[in-house]
Amino acid sequence: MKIIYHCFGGAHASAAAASIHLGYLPADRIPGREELLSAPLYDGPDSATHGILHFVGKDRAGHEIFILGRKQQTKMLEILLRSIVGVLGHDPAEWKFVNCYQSFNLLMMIGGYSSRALKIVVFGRPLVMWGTMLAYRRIVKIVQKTKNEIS
Amino acid sequence: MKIIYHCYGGAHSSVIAAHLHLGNVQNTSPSVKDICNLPRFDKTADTAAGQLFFMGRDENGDEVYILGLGSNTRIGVQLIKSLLRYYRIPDHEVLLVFTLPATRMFSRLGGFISRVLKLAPVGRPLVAWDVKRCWNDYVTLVREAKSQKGERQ
Repeated sequence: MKIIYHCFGGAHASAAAASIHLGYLPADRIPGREELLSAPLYDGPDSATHGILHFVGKDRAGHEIFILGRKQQTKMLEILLRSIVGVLGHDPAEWKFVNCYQSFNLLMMIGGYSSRALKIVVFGRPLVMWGTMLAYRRIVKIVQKTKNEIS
Repeated sequence: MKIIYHCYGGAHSSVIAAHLHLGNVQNTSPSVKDICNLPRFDKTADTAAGQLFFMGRDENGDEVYILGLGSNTRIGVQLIKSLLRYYRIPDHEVLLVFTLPATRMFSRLGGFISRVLKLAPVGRPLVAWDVKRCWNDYVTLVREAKSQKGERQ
């Protein structure tokens, strides 16, 4: 399978989810700031990269893990991906979309927007990391549910 | 090779460009009625954003598609390019042509009236009339797409 963790900007909730899936971030405890920042692409992608699929890695079962920032275009991008993949002669059913939106909180939204869209990293990054820690258990649940579904 | 004409809703400007490309209509301006009667013209629902429709093969055997990407063209195009890179499909295999620049205000207004407000009897002739007015822009757009296609092959 090819799994796409997606959220609004593709920089926080989905980046954390992909790293949890791949074991770069712990699933049994809440990581510290250093750990979060060292996760691939965490607080990295900005609005210029919306729509670009970022490959993060392969899990032990051989599933490929991607993250995607999709603004509010969840439905359109999923239809588009399945449609294009089909036209290119591949199997659209290989792709699984996992929405990480439900793990959001206000801190992640304000911090994420400040850091990525407004580029005020000094202000936004601590907030979004705090928000990620608060939402962490919910993100872990999303990943576990996904892993159960594909196993 | 695949040529994808894309616009906002995938119902009007991309459909016209695809028909011109396939030679289903002549380069000389058709009547409003002829435009209204073109297959798929003003048919795509606004909920079909992101769905590719196959329109036919051109004289070289290349596949022609239409697509509506809504208001976020850039995000959709970036996703398509990501997938081409992922599947290692060379750039010259897929040509994306944005058709919205050929349209003018009344096409957009008519398209909105027909597809979003669901008032096709009002919106459809309005778009068709505007398409007729901009016919040369469409002809130029398709000619440029074809020459770009030729350069890539």
